[in-house]
Amino acid sequence: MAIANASSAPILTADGTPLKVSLKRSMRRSKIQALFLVLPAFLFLLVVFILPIGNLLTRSVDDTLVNWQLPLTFQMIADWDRANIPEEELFRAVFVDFTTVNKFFIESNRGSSVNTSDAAWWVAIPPKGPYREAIIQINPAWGDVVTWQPLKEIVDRSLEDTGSEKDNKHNQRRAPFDLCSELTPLTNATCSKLFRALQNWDGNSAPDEPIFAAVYKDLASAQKILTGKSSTRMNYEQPGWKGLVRTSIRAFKKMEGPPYKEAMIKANKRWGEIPFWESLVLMKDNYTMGYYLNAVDRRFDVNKKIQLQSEERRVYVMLWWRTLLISFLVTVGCLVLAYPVSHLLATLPLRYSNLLMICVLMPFWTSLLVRIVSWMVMLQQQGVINDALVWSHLLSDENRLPMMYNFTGTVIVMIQILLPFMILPIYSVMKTIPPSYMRAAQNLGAPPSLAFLRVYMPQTLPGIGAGVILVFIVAIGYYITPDLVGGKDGRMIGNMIAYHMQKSLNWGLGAAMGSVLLGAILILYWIYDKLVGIDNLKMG
Amino acid sequence: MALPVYATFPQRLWHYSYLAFCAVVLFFLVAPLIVVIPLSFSKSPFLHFTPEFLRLDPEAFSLRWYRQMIGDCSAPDITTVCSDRWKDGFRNSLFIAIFATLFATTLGTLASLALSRAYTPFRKALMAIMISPLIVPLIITASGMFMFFAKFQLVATFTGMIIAHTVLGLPFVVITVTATLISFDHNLTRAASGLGGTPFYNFFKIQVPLITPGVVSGALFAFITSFDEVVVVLFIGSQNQITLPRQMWSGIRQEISPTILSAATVLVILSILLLTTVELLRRRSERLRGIRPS
Repeated sequence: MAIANASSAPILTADGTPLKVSLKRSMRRSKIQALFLVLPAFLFLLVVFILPIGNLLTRSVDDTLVNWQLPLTFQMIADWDRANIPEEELFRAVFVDFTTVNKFFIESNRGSSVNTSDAAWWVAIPPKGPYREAIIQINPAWGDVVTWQPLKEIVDRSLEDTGSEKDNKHNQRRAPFDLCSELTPLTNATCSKLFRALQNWDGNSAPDEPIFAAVYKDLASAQKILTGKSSTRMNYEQPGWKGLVRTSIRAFKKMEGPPYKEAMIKANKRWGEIPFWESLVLMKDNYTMGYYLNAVDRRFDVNKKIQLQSEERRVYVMLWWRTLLISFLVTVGCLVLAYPVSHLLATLPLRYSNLLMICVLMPFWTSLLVRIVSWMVMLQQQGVINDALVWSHLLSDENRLPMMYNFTGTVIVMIQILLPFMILPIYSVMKTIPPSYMRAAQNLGAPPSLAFLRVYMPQTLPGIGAGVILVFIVAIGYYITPDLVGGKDGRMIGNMIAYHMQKSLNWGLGAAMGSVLLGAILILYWIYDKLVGIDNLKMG
Repeated sequence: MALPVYATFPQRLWHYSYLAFCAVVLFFLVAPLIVVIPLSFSKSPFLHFTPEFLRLDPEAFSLRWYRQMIGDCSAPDITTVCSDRWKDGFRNSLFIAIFATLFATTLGTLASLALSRAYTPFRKALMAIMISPLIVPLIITASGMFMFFAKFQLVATFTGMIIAHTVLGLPFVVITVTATLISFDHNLTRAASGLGGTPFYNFFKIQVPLITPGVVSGALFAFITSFDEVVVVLFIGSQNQITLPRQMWSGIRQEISPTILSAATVLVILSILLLTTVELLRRRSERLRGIRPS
């Protein structure tokens, strides 16, 4: 009876709390402690790795810049019938969008919030001043001290003494850029006139003419940068925009006033061509799927239907296929080479296999560039392999094989570089298979080939899966190797991303390609995790 | 693996061709390294073996490319561009790699202490995030960092480079240290507490010495990753942050001179040293924890 009572009562710890509660409490403490240990690394990665990549991906759909440039046009073009050359009022909107800085002063200046009947859009600021009156007419808020104070704060902060000469200089150099990025969507425009003008302002009295003059002049030069950037963007949608914008800007300066339609078409006949107006319809939203379509050689037509890109601009699908083909060939090549070697390493006595393992790990540890250099030495026309073939009379001197700076070169070098990634997982699985299974199968009458196919191979499948996915993931995003040894027909999608990021500066397209690539890799990463578990990833 | 005495002829043939195939593959793995080292001592300014060189004519050998690499331009036989760039590159690489390793090892080891415990909340997700810099293609990481760092004036600074390389080294530290910690026998710390040790004392006296080999090999991985990295350097480095791989990159693209081979040889020797260190550490760790090689 007493025993039964004791067992039903909760077990208590020394200080009288039930054991369950006490355990739970200590568990919770351990959990919180664990989270605090991961926190620094997690936050670090979040800020300098995950956020930057997220930011990159948003660029693939971002179309705000051109919407800053042409707010009125985009608002009005919705009413255009898309069949005839637009009416005078749309031409006027284009003229105003390209020539005035009003958009930087108006509160609701983008997307659907643009109100074309608001007189503020049509106020003309006299190019030689006075500016104050006109700017206040556009938006009365600019007459208030409060509107200017945040700008003044930026200036004041940059002038504070930090104690270090270098930092002070740096802050003062940054401030004009910060001012401009406050007023415009641009980060590379400088508002140095405004910076100087605000230094002389006390921050309380009503801002006077020189400040307005400074802000107008700075914004006018920012407007030029914005025009350049958005004309590049418009050129992606319809080739020819860049030249059209350039000649038109010059012509706009000479135009006295309305009507604009005839004058603009006379300045550049493209203003009278429907495709240019159609392309504007496609850019009028702040977000675009255009870059993604472009990345797979498609485009929107004027009705937002997806169409194939014109023949001469179709390059990317071929590149995606080639990237997949190279990755596939490299994966298969690695598997074929790695399987027997892993088997040998797993079945040899330890002292031999350790020695051979160094052969596998050695390239794993040597610099990628070193290996690429040495492959250049081996594979080039005057290289070791061709020399050996000629010397052994397998090849005549004129027919040296081209094995470098082409598709073959990329595949050979990538197989060598990625081979350890295939050997190691397969080896670690083979290591755990007892050799007695094969012997048992053969004792039961299976010929060696059948025993291998039915008994040994199925057991190595997890290793094969791990190796195949790992090699494929790494191969598909390769950049350095194809760039150095790939020549023209060995380039992969990674090279195209780099080209758009660094050379053509079409960041939207580069980001769209990057996110497609990243998406594919994350799916494979997820499968890898389900299959083997990322905890099992081992190095060396 | 030896062939039984009763093996038939086809079996023998199969077996030996299998061995030959493995030998060829293993040779394929190390061949490039075997080629580079002798050629770096060649006198010829071209990247191929000259007949004199193959006849082992002492005239065909020289250390000129090594002299050029260390920036000794006084030698009369210097014919190509000669500058301190290789030396500067080595110094920059070393500087960036040391700091990146320090940060990656600290952050990674702390995180691993938690990630090796089964009770840590969101363990799998956190682990996946920690390893992701290894999985995401470098070109995407580099472009993303380039744009993001530009906003904070970190492009073309050593700070930016060190941050980027810390990110890339982190997964290696997390993987190696977590692996070491998972096989760590927690009864040892329990026994120590039973004997009256404070948690602090136990950590430094019992746990740290046992996991040090894992931490050090993780650090070495992080170091070599940073020392070998070129994509991020191409994106966020400037003329002032030319590292050794960056210098090799421009060497390969512009003036292919055997100086690249001497630099490559130095790097190969460096990696042999590192590989040996890691292997010795692994054995020491196994011995400390009483694991015998099977």
